[in-house]
Amino acid sequence: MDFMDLIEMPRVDHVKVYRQIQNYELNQLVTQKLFGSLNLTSHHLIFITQTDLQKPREEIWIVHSSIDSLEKNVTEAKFQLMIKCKNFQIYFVDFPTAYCCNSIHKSLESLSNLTTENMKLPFFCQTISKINQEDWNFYSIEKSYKRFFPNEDSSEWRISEINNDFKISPSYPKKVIVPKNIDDQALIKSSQFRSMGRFPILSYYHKKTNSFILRSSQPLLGSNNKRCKEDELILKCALPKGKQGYVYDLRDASILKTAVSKGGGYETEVNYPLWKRINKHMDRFDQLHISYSKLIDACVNSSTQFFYKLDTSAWFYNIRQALYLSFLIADEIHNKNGCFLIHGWDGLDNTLLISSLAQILLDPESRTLDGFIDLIEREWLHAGHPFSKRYFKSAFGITPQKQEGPVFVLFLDCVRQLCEQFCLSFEFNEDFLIMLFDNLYTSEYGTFLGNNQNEREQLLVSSRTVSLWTYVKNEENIKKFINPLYKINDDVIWPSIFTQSLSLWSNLFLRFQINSKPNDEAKKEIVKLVETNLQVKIKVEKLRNELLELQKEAIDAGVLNSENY
Amino acid sequence: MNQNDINDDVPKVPTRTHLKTNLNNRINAQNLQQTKILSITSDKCTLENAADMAAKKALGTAKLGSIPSLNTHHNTDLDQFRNLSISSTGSGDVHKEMNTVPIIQPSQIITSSISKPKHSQNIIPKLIEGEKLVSTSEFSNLTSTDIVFVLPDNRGVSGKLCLTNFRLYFRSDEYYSNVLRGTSHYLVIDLPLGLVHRIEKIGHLSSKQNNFYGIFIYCKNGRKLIFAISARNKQDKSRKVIYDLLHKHAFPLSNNLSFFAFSYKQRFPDETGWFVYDCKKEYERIGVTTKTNDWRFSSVNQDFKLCDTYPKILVVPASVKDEELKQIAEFRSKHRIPVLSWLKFDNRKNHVALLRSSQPLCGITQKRSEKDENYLFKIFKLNTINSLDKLYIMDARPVVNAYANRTTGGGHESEDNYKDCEINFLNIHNIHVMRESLRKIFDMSLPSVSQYTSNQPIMPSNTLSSNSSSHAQNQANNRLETDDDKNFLLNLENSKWLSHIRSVLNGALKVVKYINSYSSSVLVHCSDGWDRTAQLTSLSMIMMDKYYRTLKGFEVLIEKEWLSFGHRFGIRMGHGSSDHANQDRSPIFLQFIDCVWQLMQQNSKVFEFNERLLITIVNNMYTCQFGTFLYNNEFERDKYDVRNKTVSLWSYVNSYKNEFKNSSYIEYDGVVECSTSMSSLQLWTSYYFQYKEVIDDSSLVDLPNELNESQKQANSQVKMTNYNMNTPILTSKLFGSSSFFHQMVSQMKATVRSYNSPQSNALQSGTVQESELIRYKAVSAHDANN
Repeated sequence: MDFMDLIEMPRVDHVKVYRQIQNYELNQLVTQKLFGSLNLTSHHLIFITQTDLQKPREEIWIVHSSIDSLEKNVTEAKFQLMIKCKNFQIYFVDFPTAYCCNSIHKSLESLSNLTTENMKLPFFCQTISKINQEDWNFYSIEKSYKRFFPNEDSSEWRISEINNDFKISPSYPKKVIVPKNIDDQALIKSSQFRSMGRFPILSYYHKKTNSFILRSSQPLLGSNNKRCKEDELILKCALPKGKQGYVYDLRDASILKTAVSKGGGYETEVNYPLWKRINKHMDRFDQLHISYSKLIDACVNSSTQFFYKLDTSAWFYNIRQALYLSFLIADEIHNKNGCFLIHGWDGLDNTLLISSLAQILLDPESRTLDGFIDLIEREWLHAGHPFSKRYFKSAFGITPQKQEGPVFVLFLDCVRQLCEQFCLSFEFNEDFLIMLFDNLYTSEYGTFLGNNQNEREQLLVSSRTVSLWTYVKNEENIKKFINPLYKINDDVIWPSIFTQSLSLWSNLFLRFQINSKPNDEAKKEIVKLVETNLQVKIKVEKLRNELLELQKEAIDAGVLNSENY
Repeated sequence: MNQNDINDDVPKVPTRTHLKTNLNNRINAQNLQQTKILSITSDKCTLENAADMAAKKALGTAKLGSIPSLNTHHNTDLDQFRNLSISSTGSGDVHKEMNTVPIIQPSQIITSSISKPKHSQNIIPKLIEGEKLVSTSEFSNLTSTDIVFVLPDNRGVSGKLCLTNFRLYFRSDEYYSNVLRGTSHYLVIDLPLGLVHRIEKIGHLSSKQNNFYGIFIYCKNGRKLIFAISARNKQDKSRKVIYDLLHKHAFPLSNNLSFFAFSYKQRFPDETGWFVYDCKKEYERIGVTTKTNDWRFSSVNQDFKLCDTYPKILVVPASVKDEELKQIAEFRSKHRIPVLSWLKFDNRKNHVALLRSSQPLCGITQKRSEKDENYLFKIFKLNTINSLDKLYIMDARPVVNAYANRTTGGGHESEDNYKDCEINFLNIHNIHVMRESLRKIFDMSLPSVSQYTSNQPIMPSNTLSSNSSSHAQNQANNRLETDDDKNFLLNLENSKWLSHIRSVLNGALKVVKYINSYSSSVLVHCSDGWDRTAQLTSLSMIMMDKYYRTLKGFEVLIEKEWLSFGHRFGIRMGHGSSDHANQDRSPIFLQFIDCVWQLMQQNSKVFEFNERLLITIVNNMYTCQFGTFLYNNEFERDKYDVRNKTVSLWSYVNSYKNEFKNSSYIEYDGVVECSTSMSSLQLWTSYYFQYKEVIDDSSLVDLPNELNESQKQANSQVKMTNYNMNTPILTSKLFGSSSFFHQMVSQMKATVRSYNSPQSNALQSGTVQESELIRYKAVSAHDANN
């Protein structure tokens, strides 16, 4: 299939486009009305305004994959297409004839719903930066292992290459960290007992207390109550003496029976005597998608009953629950003797959310820019979070397969809540998180392509596309993403999770509704102040030293009595 | 950065951000010292001194728990670690024993008071000028009685209670430590009695149940306090004595006493507070008699004969004689005739007027008054160029209410009779609706308080058996399990407070639109013209006139539009009255301040004053420490000679101007507007939830690790002094982060400033003597010159 087959009409003239934009002079939002022509290319919808003597020519580029939903409104007098983008921008396009409207609609409909990974933008995009292999290999399991276990010999854990050909578990990376005294045969047995072959692997090791987080998928108990000795052995061996193991099942206890009848199940107390099972409810990704849609609906049409709508969206409930559960884990790990195995259904969504949030609370490293990227690589990309499926549509749309679910968006929002509460403890800023959000749905970079490492390798992503981290690491760009107030904070952070202390991510969800100018100005001012602060500090330091010298001189010369100092 | 900022001697009180910027110890300590110097002078004048505010904060914190997140869903497996520590602060020198202080476990009830002999340690707060300890002959020791304060999570804290004619002061016997912050302090409650809304006795000694026995205090700012009184037997009358004394001094008006303001004799560096507003000068500033002669000053109300709720001097059209005014007054409710509030001059026309009045007395029979019609016509004629112009009458009420008012003799102008007028209804609800709405906000901020009044045994009054203790523990646990905040958004929606704010702001924006864009004069009125009218005129004046956005101008605005035009502060706030159910109480002025705060959030640079000023004004509005907000109108204030016998709040504010200034202020000529979409309005949590600080709590652990103990102490002191100025550390908020950023900016400016004053650094380094200081200054001056 070629792109040209999909484009029925490459150009339409005399088109009107309406959009809401920020007017900086008036300091408010205005509806902008533009006249011009619409052009379709393989990956972009380009609107070019008519050349006008007063105004310079303006162009609006909309990537096809950033279109979330299209609504056609054709009446006798009006041929309008509403384009809702995944970044919440909404365009209204008036066409001169119904025919244009229909054909553009049809073309866009197919272009914006391309499922073939190979036809996606990153493979065609000519970005400024060159493909940098180093950025593709930014994360390596050896590095993590070194970080968790500086002293390899005394460690109870090893790196297993059992999944090197993605046969044991297609969604796992090639190498995983497992308990040292478990051999690969046991891992294979265990993988057959776990949904999608996702046997328990190490996700995080807390050096300060020698506690850890494992994650896996649900065990395949089934209605005939199967058990797997090797799987039990892994958990038994992993747990050091004096530690209490908790299996953190992110499903409500009431669902477990259904899960068993479907061939899944849970760790029974009889077979896993050392581990205590705790059931905590988290909304599944499909429920989360509904919540997300309601949230965006409330934000886009913020009129009466705004708070009521926010409340019914349950988005805050989800944030609170996610932060709360990770809070409990962090507390057990840091203050008590708890070790955790986290899983939900397949261990692809909420499991990763909770384990990565807990790490952000616990691990100062993950609050740095590099550490956070490392965390995303390790806990999301390499852990097999199905990015392609989950972020195919955003808040306005959904595919019939209903695989969408903004788990990563929830993660970003949770991190932002933490950033706001601990504004000095994070090296990156809100803009970085918003940038991640923007690249999540549609990107020129290949990082979020595919559903797991296996798919990414098949697509040869690393040799054909540029990594998002190449963009981030660019000297010009990295400045934008650094929090000027960052101070290393080696402590565990304990957030407040009351609804009162959570805030709506207005810079993202209300990005086309609110005036962002005051915030931008304040941010700039902070950067400036930090700079001044530093300079004055240096000056004070210098003056102090001079004073000390003068004092010394005075004492030496006998002007001052040295006993007083 | 603005040069003035650097030169200010008094630094902005450092706050959380300050702490976390991990300044070196000296700078912190130096700031502290400067603040101390300040507080020596200001301590006596702030209503809520450091300890008080701190304790209030602490209570809010303790309620939430220092591990606040626990208060969520059912959690039976991991709840062992719910060791809420009480974070509280006290006065100055309490840090010495910090390491030895035990951590309070949940539900641990401390009743050490029983065994302690009385008179052992009487605690007396630092009294302000004119404040006296209250005692009776019967109970010589009552000035400092053993008592248990009940925290919102049912834990008791034993301590001493002390009553003065101004405040209720409670200090715990023991230190309470905060593990996370590594500090320990007394728990202190310092409550100005003016804030007391209602006092209730709860529990009975005679009842067999372990009922709670003591006093429940409701405050006007939504705070709720419980004190348990340990009575030994039925003859023990301590509760009655305390109750009676509290009642007497909290409600002076109901007990034929005078307000505390009349005993308060503090001197301030700037004592011109009562002269901030000069009616003539202010009207001359806006152009009456200076730029135009169409308006004149009228002294028809000199002896309050025309209208006893209006000021002495009124500004009316020059063509209208005093005699006519008297006739017009007959047709206006409470004789409040249309008078000039503000004038706008523009290029096209001469001037546009903003007027205010009360409703016309049309009644059911639709009476008319030719005089009134003519009067408005004359006003209309003053700025007419083309025939399309109109005089716009803004009736603040919902149209239904305006009609309904006819039955009681009121009503609204009909367009048939007033030919050149157009009437608009702004749909702002009445004082009763607003009062209920705010009550819901306060209920939301402390959602679980109602449980205290239930009949369930909550805390044993005298004894503390292991049985009851575990019961109390269960109670506490259960309470923590219920999520108070689960319906936060729903409650916020249901309170409708923000939609009322929105309707007020929209009304003001409409007034601004007609005056500014259409250049048409506007007359604003509601029923009596002292509540909604004052809100609308003052808000639109703030939006249009940059003068009112300065510190001085804001004071003038409040004096003019609210005090002189007779907003009934005495009745609306219920000053000194025990009649807590009075239907005339309503937070109209608070709502106005909230609207100003909303404007400030969206236009942070155009206001010369900061949020602290707003909170100070609102807090002092209740306390009756200053005379400014006493009584209902000029007439009454003159009658009681408030001007000469009390201190003005503005004397205090103007004496410490730098505390109330916005460091990022830039003078702006244009009209300031704001978005009123629900997503851009915010709940003013730093006021409404000042006792439920949320984020502050978590910030305690955000201190960098490398701080050593002494640094942590210094930090906690700095943090404590922060409460002094009634400013919350970081507001918890739902929307927008602009306020957060701007707070940050101002705090950082303070930090930078502290670096810029080298002599204080040198002082703190502890190595320089006075004589050396001079040398040091010379060196730094030399350095600066190069």
